[in-house]
Amino acid sequence: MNTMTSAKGVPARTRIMQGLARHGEILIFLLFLVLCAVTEMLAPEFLSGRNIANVARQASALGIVSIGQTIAIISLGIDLSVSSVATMAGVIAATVMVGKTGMVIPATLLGLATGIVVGLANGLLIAKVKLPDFIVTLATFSAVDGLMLVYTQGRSVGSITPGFAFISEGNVGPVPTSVFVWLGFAAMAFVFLRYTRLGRHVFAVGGNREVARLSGVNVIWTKILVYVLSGFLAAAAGLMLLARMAVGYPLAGQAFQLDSIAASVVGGASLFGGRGGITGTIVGVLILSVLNNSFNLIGVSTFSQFVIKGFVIIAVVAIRARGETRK
Amino acid sequence: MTQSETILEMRNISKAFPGVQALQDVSFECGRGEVHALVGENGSGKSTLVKVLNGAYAPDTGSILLDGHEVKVKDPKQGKGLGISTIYQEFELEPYLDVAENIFLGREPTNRLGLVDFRKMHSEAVRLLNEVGMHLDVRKWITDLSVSQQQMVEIAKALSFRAKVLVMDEPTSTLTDEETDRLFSIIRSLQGQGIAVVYISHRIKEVFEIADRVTVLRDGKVVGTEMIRNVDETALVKMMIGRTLDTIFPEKGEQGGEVVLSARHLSRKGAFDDISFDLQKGEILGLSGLVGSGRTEVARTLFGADRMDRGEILLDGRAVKIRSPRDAVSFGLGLVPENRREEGLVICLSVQKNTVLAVLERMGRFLFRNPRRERDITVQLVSSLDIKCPSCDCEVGLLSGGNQQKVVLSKWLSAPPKVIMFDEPTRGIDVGAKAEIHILMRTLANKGAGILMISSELPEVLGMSDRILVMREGRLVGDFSAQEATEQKVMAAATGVMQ
Repeated sequence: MNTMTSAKGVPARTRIMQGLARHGEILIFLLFLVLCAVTEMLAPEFLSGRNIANVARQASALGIVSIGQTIAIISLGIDLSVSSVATMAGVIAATVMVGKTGMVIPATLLGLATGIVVGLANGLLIAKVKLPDFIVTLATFSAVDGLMLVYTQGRSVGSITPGFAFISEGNVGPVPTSVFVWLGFAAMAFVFLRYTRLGRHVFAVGGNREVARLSGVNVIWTKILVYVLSGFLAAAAGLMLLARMAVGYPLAGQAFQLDSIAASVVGGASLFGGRGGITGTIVGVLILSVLNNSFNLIGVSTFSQFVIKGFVIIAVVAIRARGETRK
Repeated sequence: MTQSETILEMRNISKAFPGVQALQDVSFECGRGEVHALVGENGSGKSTLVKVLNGAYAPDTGSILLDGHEVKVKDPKQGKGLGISTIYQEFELEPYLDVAENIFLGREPTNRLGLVDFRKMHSEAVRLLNEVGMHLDVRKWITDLSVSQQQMVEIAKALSFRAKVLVMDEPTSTLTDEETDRLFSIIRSLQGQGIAVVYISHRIKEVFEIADRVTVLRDGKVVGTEMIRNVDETALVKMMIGRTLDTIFPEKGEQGGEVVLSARHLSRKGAFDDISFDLQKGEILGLSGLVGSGRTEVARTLFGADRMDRGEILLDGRAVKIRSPRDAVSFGLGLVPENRREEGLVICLSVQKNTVLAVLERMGRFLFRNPRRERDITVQLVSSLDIKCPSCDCEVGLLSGGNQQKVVLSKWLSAPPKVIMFDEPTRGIDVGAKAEIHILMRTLANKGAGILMISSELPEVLGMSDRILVMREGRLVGDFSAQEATEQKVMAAATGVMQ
């Protein structure tokens, strides 16, 4: 029996659920608004100009790394190495820059290059040697993480120039510069996924790898590109973090690993591949950032933070799953 | 058919696999705009012939000519490029891409900026569909389409490759009557464009409705090729099965035992409807029918692996609720599934571990295993079933098909069940092991078990069964005693041909 049939004559309630799931972006955007409202009620300083700018800057870094993660998830992969790649980019850039304006460009390029190199390594091991995504990126995560801890001896290293800090801490009018960087990457990724052949192939590989292969899609190159992009974006996010923190810190990108996955999934990316999008991930990032911010403002204990975060993620994914066509 | 009209010629194709000659000196030809049906029982070589044609297999001998020129089809992709497209029962489509993207996957049209030209892709897709009278919203995802609509996408895909020959493998098995009619009008449009259609189907009635010619395969050889107007359904069925029963089967048992299992009005939407029968102790009840007739579904439901919408199951006269295989096993049922490597065995575990799998709890005490008892039982069964393995710890994945099947069987014999169901018990097993399994089945029956045997091999069904039930499209359409059954009658009931 062909498993791709959809039911006809489906009851109204299910159709509404399906509609909600399809236009999930609307649902999660509403959730985002609700979260903002609740936070504002519990902590009125939430909507102050300073706090909003703060949240925006935090969100930008997570937003950039989540773009790469979303692309990986759409291709039926996952990148667990993003946190240590971000950290490494920051540490290396800070070390090279050491507060010298002349070294800003080389430091940035070097930082981004490390992301590409790790991404390439991930991609080759996954696509050519055919090892599982989860294991490979977990291994690179550990390796790079360990490398950073040894190199920095657990201490912060290097320094940046005020010029460099501008990419995150500056403002263009009322809007933080980091938002422009984030949305710039997001726009490029949006066009890539929706309007380029390679982008469409990413969806094809994630949806049904065999069909993609039989149709002449170069599955191996597609997957390698996916991980290179993810590595590059993780490094870029790491540089944004560096701009915020002013020094290279060995645990800088720690939160990225799971938060980027959570943001992608809340945003509609399916861990079963083939589905997801940049717009959804942007909302997912906003939701997570507002949640984090609200925890700080309200003073929620660490334990409760994890519980609430987990609950929100599960709820969103569950409603989405219900709306999906039953097989 | 004159020379210029022939578009496809397969000459003297032979193909062998280890242990079986799948095709022997098969010649087949198809003309432009012709619908040529290919019929034959399971295992007759139909799918092998298709795979040789579209390039999935390379023939051992023989040649393929397209438009008069010999071609070597290296792989299905090249085959598509040459004009040979195949539509299988399992569609090759991306669930989360739209219709147009599926048709042009890998060949997406681009605009001057190098970006995908969606408008062009969509309009081209619509044009292809309209060419043969199909109408779809090309922006819909495949997963939102019905099976019949997905099939249209596959046809449009073939058209986009400028197919000269379109092979359709059991295209109507998942379609309603209405959808089948629509498919037929699409096929007639394809014919109008000069495209040849190789139509593989079990449904004899449809073959007579849509085909111009029919070729019958049996045991890898061509039995005959006829114009449809020169044959009738009965003759066709005869060509499909005409063989002598020269295999020896164990002697049948005595009848008239108590009823051990009763099925009453079992129904599940989309799978089977109103199935009722009795199984006696000591009886081998054969369940015959074509692939997809619902037999496996019935067995799985009796075993608790799938649910039913309506119906009752009685064991030894008492109504029982079987909600899971666990329940079934506790009631004394066993199932030797169709797919032994995936459903019958834990392929990476040893013979012993597989053998005791169903009765682990009864072996030891509390939470502990009893390795000694496990070993004893395994050794006993290995010897009584004559399982050839170097040791009880040998990985079952390394055994031959026949021995693997015996291990599956031994799983149920470690605690003798009342009813054992076999789904294609000797499929893919060599002649020698086949005979051994047949003897085992009869021995079990003689010891009092009730045996339900699902089989698509007519000689096996007739040779082993004390009684034969036939299913077609989810319903019971035949009930024959061993004496009155003939291959002809069973096949006729299975295919729905009136005698």
